[in-house]
Amino acid sequence: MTIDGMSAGSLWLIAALVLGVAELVVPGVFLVFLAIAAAVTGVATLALPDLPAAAQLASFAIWSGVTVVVGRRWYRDYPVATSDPLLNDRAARLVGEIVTVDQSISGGNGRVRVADGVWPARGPDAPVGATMRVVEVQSGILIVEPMAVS
Amino acid sequence: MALTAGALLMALVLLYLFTSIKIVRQGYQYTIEHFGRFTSTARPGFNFYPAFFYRVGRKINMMEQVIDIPGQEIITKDNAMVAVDGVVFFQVLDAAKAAYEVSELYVAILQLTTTNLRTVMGSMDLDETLSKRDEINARLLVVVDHATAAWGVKITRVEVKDIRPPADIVNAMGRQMKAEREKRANILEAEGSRASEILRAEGQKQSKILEAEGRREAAYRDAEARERSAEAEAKATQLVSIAIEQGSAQSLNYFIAQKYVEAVGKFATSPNAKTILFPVEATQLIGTLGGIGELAKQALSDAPAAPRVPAPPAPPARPKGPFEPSAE
Repeated sequence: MTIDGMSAGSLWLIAALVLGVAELVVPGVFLVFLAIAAAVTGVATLALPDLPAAAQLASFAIWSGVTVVVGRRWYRDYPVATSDPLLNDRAARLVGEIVTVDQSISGGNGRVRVADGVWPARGPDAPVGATMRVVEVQSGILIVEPMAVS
Repeated sequence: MALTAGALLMALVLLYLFTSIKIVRQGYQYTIEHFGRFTSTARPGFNFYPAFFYRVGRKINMMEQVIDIPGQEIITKDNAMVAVDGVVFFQVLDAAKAAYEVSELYVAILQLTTTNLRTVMGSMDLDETLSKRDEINARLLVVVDHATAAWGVKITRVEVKDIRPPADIVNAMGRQMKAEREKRANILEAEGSRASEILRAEGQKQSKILEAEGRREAAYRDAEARERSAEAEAKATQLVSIAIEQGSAQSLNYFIAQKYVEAVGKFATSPNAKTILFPVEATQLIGTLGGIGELAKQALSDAPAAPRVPAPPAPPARPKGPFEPSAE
């Protein structure tokens, strides 16, 4: 099967190239797996020129599935290292910060000043102006403890 | 037939893959629903959730966002109408809560801030609202932050942008400020002139005092000088009288005669009068000469001298004045 004098294998390879470029142009659409599947199909078609068109399409579909599954496994086992894992996680970023008490912590609840903002805090009782260290964050509430006297 | 089946298979597989792969961009989190029930949040990156079983619920923006609070009329405690607008900065901390605990997050935050802005500013009078923005911001932040904590949202900042009192009040404020400054200027001027008058008077007083002191000192010195000259006079008189006593009274006559003759000589030599009126008797002059002769006779004779009289006592010491320097 040929189109415009080009072999089916070449067409698959061109399709792979187009999908790869599309992945670059349209980010966030997962076309690179399809590009790999198309490339594999193209190579197979060139190797076996008498492969029927239906088999070619099926091969493309199956390889797409396989590449996605492999890709998913790959990303799960080797996650993409982000240079800033705490990005867009403002609360988690505050762990370890030194904060001052803005509204005295009594009965376990109070408010602490972080930069120019005020966050709700939980921890041992402390007067206004005491410095505390953030140890963890629970749904937007900072868990603080007094700074170790060193 | 086989071709159609292959094409269909390919289309289905591609469709399934496209709907199953969820690429989440940085800055967002997607909530994933399993048959309509929330299961997990898809974090930025490559996510695969099989289609038909899982679907994306909400796409939550995890970046800090700004909502503009539109301008509104607020009545302050002292019944002034002011137009106020502001901004709220917030960030979603918990995508699931922000997606499902509140139905319209932005509208909710906006309404909450608007109403609380009214509450806070309505409890202050106009001057306070204009001068205590920090306090307004802080109070708003606490209230709104408390209310939105349940929605997995952190209100980072609430800022009142613009407070515009009505034009006539602004005008009155301007006049008040001007009057205030003029008052201060007048007070300062009055204080300045008062201070300068006081200084001038002080100076005059000082100069008068110094002058009087000078006069007093001078008077002292004058008095002292007169005393000294009187003392000298007394002393001289005393010496003369002692001299006369030791010599004889006739020696006085010698001196007097000398002076008399000299005076007559001066009359003779004076250029303006060649005619001399002699009010004295010429015989007197002759008499003085006779006195001298007597003197000579007495000196040459061996007659005993007149008995000596003791010298008169010195005058008593003058009592010292209160300002007189004590003598060393």
